Amino acid sequence: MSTQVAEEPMRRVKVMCGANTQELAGLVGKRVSDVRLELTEVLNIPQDARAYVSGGNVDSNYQLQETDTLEFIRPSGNKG
Amino acid sequence: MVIKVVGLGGIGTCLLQILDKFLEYAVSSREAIKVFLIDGDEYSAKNSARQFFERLGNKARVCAESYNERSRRVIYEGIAEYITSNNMYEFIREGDVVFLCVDNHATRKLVSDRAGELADVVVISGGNELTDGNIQIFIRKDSLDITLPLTSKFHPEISDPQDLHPEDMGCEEAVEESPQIIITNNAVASAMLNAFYAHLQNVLNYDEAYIDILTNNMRQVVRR
Repeated sequence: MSTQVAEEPMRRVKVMCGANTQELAGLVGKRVSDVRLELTEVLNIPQDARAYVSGGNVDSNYQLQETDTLEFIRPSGNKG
Repeated sequence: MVIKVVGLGGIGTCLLQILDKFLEYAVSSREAIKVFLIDGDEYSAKNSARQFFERLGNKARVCAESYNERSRRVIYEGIAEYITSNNMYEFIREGDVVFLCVDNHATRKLVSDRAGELADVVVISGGNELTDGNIQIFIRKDSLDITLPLTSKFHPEISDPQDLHPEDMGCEEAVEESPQIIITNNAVASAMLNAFYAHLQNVLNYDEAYIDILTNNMRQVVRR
């Protein structure tokens, strides 16, 4: 009789920039700089956007953890 | 109700078209509604690609004249000045609802700092780049910050502005340096009016919202 072990679902991390949001699996353990590189196009991340995890500023070497929410905060629009 | 619209360019003139109709027909108030239009800049022919105006001249005065001709209930007053550290005490006052539609962070900081000295005020600020933009809402009630000032730690570009005040550089120069499109101006103006309506309904609880016209996404953010 075999015992079935339920696989733990892969934790998704929410990443946001401006109006755009993605919830992705496989980001836990990755550095912010790698995530930025991976998602620059899909989230339209500008070079001068600063990274915040759960409201606190983090540097590009920060490694994402399970409960993190990452936001690349765009500077406010300047023109009108 | 006293409303100030600061900046009558791409965002400001898009916003004013809808605001005028809304105030004229949708707001139930027996009192006259006064709207001050504030801008030291002049309309030139090239502005017609993105801005609504009926003749050349000072932006605030031209718009006030046009809207006074068609409005029955709303009284417009044009003030042909930029907001500066000298006149902000006169123009940003207790109880105001301020639509900040300017094209520089230096003025955003001035107005946010001034609002922070008041007990009750609402500042709804909008700005855009080519295809995206954001709005920020700063509400003070009973001398407390209900939402974050425009100069919070999340926006150092406003708390420590690196750009020039319009008295030092005209809008024409800014527009030449970086093109804009009216669709983005209109999207930001529309988001600002959404926030205004939510404020009137007492349900406005976010600090800012982002708009992207390419993905057609909008996201509101609470940062407190």
